[in-house]
Amino acid sequence: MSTSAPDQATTTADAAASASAPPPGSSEAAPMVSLWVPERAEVPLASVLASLSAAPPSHPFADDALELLDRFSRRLLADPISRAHPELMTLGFFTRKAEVQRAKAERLAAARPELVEVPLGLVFHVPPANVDTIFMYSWVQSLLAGNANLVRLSARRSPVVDHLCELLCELLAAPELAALRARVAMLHYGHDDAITAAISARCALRVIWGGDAAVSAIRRAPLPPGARDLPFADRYSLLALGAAAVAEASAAELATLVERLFNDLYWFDQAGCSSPRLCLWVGPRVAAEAARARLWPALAAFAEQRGYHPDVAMRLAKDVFCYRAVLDGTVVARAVYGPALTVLEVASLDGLGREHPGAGLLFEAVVDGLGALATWVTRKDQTLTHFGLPRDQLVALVQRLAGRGLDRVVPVGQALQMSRWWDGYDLASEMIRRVHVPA
Amino acid sequence: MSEEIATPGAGGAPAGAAASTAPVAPPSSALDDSLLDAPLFGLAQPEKERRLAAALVALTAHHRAACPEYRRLTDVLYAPRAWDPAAALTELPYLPVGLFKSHRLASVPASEISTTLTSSGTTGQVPSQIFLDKVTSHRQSRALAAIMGHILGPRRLPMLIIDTSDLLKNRTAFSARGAGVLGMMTFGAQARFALDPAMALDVAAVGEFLAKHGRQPFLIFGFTFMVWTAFLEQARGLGLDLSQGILVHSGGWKKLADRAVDNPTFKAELRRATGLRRVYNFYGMVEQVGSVFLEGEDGLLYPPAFADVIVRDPDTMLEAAPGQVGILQTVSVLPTSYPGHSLLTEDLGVVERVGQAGLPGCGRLGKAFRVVGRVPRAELRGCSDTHAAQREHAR
Repeated sequence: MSTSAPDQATTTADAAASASAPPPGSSEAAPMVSLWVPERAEVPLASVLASLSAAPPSHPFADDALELLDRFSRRLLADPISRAHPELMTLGFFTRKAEVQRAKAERLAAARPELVEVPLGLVFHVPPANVDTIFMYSWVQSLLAGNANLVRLSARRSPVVDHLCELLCELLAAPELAALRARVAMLHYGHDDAITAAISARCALRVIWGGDAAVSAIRRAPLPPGARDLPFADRYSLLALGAAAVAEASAAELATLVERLFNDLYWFDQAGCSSPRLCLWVGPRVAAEAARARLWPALAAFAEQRGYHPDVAMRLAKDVFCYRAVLDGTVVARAVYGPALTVLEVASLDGLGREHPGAGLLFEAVVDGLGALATWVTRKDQTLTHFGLPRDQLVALVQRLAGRGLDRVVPVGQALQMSRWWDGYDLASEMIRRVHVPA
Repeated sequence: MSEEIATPGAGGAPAGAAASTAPVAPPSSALDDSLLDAPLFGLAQPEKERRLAAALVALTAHHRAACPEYRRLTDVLYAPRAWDPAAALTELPYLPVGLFKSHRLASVPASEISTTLTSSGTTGQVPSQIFLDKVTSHRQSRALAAIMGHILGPRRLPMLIIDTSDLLKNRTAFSARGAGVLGMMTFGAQARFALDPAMALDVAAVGEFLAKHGRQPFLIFGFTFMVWTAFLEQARGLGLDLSQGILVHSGGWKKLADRAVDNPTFKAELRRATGLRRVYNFYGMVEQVGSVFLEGEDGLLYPPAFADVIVRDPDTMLEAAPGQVGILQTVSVLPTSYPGHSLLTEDLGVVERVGQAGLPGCGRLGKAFRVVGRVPRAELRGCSDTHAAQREHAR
């Protein structure tokens, strides 16, 4: 096993492209990896792969997986550390018993008698380095499907990732979860193509987060012929606000809107694919003027109060970006609401590009209706968050786009909420195999 | 971006050429050259700011009329009061230096561009492009001559260059370093290069130079980092006598800061090893050639009469109080061929004091400041994991 994996990788790599020579040294000696979950240890990759494949098989929504998530969620929600990290609270809610049971009931309700759902086998997760909790969402979906999982964690450790790994190690040490424990390996290795190739050669599904460049880099390692990639490319997201609804919102409604917008924009310095970067005011210009005069100062003040303070380099980058945007596009005005928020108004969406510096910058445009998006949206556009717009208009837009773009249309406040439905995939469904057994 | 690249006489060729040619008529706009003739460090700050503001308002109007991109930028990003004749110095529009990397900004027709300066600080970065015509080149060399004259005196001194002559081999495409050396050579005579092509100290050349010129004042020029690594570290123990030398150096402290060498250490070590006492650092950038901020005897940097620095609070972008570190904005009356008369750098600095007559500080008036360093790089966040991906690609 320790030799067959690299051999296979080399053979297929040669067949595919001779340009990428195997890195020297790494494939001859048994490559080592740093295991973080279920325990901390420096171990040979071969032994990790061996124990994953030797693990007893499971099935979707297995009791031990539900039990682990229940314990995990209760610990996370009660943990004082989570209060300082809203993304941990969100993860805690996502994994709580009621939520998992609801997901299970949903699946059972949709089950067809002639289909038997079984795990895929080994799933290889390559999460991004910079968004701390994505690896958990990716893993949890696959865990619930009953798969064995190998998660490659980034070297760029963070308190959040460390905390989650420690918690998982502790929970997985319970004897009654021993079978499940054998199906989990979260580990780190340096950027070693040979290791990526060895793991890829063994998996049934490879989940690649981290955008276009990461997807291309990982994809150079071949998969077994019957395996699949689940790639998450770079995406762009936007916001649509009903101008009248914002202008006429009560003080309390406005405060709620502001807090939700803050979560959507600032959790990851507005660099998350799902954070909105363009705001469309839908409605008459008069209403839009009134609405933005209320909303932007309130949002900037809230961000300030929450201590959102991009560092000097980010703000300089944002500043240079504004100058470039003026020269390269159709920006007609800039409004700076302190360090946290800059708004660039464009006369129309024509010619508006998708470059963005993050750290609290929004383009904004006033449009008569959502139809203005019909010609602008492309496959790159992922999430449309909305407020004050009727659902039939949103559905009409999606139908009119006919798959040319937008994979999520969610209320303000849910832009960064991971769910089973992502980038046009049903993650839960992608991670199982359906065996056809007609009556 | 403020490369801190030492290009004092930039594109030496044009600087030298312009100096020896008859002055070219300035552009039609009302250019106030009186600041070029004013005492370099002799204007009290209020008077200096008043005169600079008037000259820069006129330059802003000139660039708005002559450079469509500049007009669009100022129209969208600033209110008209920023170029009102009554505008204060701190109200004038500024461009981020990084803009010269991504956009061609010129205030003269292409046919009048005599030199294009390019610079790239860090490897792999896009270079800035700065377009000079004869008028701007001439103003730059005139300004620089005034500043260098202040420390070197009226005579061209024998010159020792802490670099290799290989730098100047390709006469059509100078690096920023080559351009800097060439520009500086107009202020020296009988130049000798102290390093061989392998950047080792050419002991014979230095010995010959000192035997011939070492007993009268002579000029030494080099880049801060080279002076330390290629010269001082090799010259230790050779017993060189540089006590008559005047060292002018630039290029930034970042690499030396990594070795825990600051300006006082730099000077003390040079003095101990070679007897060199007169050492002048300067801060300047390719985007504002000629506007050189020269070190005084107290180790602080002093803007000349025709230029100034404004330290801005990174949060408010308003002018920071003396003693408070902020982002450096540099203004200069020199650039007429490109809209670079007011630039926001990517450097952090602090005004240590504003010199007044009768107070200590080299007898110089106006702002005395320090460059604290580069704005630190932002750490990338977000789900596009380009850092990891680049490392993957690099393999």
